[in-house]
Amino acid sequence: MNSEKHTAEEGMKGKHAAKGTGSVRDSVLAQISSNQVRMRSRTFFVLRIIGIIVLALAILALSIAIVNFLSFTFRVNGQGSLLRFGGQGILIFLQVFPWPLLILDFVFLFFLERLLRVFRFGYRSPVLYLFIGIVLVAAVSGVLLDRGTPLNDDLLHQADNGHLPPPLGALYQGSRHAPPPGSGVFRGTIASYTPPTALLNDPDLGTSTIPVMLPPSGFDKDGDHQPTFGVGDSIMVFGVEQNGVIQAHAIYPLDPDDIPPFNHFDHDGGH
Amino acid sequence: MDPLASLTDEELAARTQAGNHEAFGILVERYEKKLSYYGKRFLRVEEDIQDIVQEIFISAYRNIQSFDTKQRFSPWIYRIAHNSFVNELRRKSRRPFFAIDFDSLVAHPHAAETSEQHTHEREMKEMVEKGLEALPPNYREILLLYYQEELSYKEIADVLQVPMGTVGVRMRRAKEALTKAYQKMNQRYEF
Repeated sequence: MNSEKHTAEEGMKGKHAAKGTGSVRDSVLAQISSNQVRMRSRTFFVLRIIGIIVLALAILALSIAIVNFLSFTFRVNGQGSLLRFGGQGILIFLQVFPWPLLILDFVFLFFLERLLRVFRFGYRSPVLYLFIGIVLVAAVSGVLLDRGTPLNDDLLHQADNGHLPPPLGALYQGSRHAPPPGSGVFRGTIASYTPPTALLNDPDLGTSTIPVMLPPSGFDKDGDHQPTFGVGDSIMVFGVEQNGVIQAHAIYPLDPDDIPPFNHFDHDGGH
Repeated sequence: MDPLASLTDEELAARTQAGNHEAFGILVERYEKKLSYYGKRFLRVEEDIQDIVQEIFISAYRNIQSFDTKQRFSPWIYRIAHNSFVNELRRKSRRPFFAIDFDSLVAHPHAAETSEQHTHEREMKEMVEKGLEALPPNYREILLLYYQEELSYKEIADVLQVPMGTVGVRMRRAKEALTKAYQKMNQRYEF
């Protein structure tokens, strides 16, 4: 009881000192003696640093995962090929670009940059350079993860077979998008080729085949009298659809390595 | 004479870490006036400054185990003081939580301390004494830390948590602003 009274008195003494009735030194020491103020242990600081490092790594991993998924959706939907179709292709590319994911990634990277400023190397680096550095690390790692490993294709395979738990399963299953209706962009694999027409398996339209009226050069894109494409090739066609026939203006190949969805679209659930 | 009084700041901090409260008391005595003076660069009301100075020492005591005794104590406590005063200033002026510091965005040519600077040190110190009030807080602070607290650019970078180049650039601008303010002041006195 006496000790409690003593502590309370010392606490009051500290408060009075804070208002200028005593020295700051006396006030601070009184609060320390009365255990109103306690020293944090060294372990606390070690754990805090570990916590910050773990949090920073987790945010970086999340950001890399988002870039990886963005790269994957580009690849499976052939969105990169849109850029070859000139101004309109770029416009469609911007329309179908998954902006919310990119914005989310930038939010994560912004938090990561703020977090790294706790460390000496963080605040001693110019803000812009540190941010660009983080963006580069996330972007390169994310793209490498997609292009250099079979991770995404495996995950898509698992998602299609219902073996990938939510939310990843739904995310991967929903990763394939048809070009926007009316955009003039069509994708498919060549089912047959009889100049000047070709039949295209077009999974985006949900039909088994769609005829394509080829440009005057047909598939001889390079002008060397050798068809650039053949049956079974996957292509992206830029043109106008009239009465169920695509009048093609330009045709570009889709890299067979880059088109797992086409292996999945033309099936009834299996591989 | 108290044997603790002859110890360096860093030795006193080490003793505090080991549980010696009196050693911390000496540190408080050594820095109380300095921090109050530093606080005047941010706040006007004396009572507010005293309260915050006390909070700075309490925070320093709480966090003393995070101090590396191989480093200088002065930048460490000024770092706490800087945060405390900036937070108070922000609270009072209701400034947005996040403000872009354009000086820290990109790298600036490394402006190191030069011998020429040291030659004019006394002159500058005098100007700092007299002309500081006329400067904006960020200029006042950097001049105070350099000329009165005698922190190096590196230590100031640690206190303000900005790149070294930013310290150099801000210091150059602060000196230019101070020289102008000082000249203006002298002209006024001449008339």
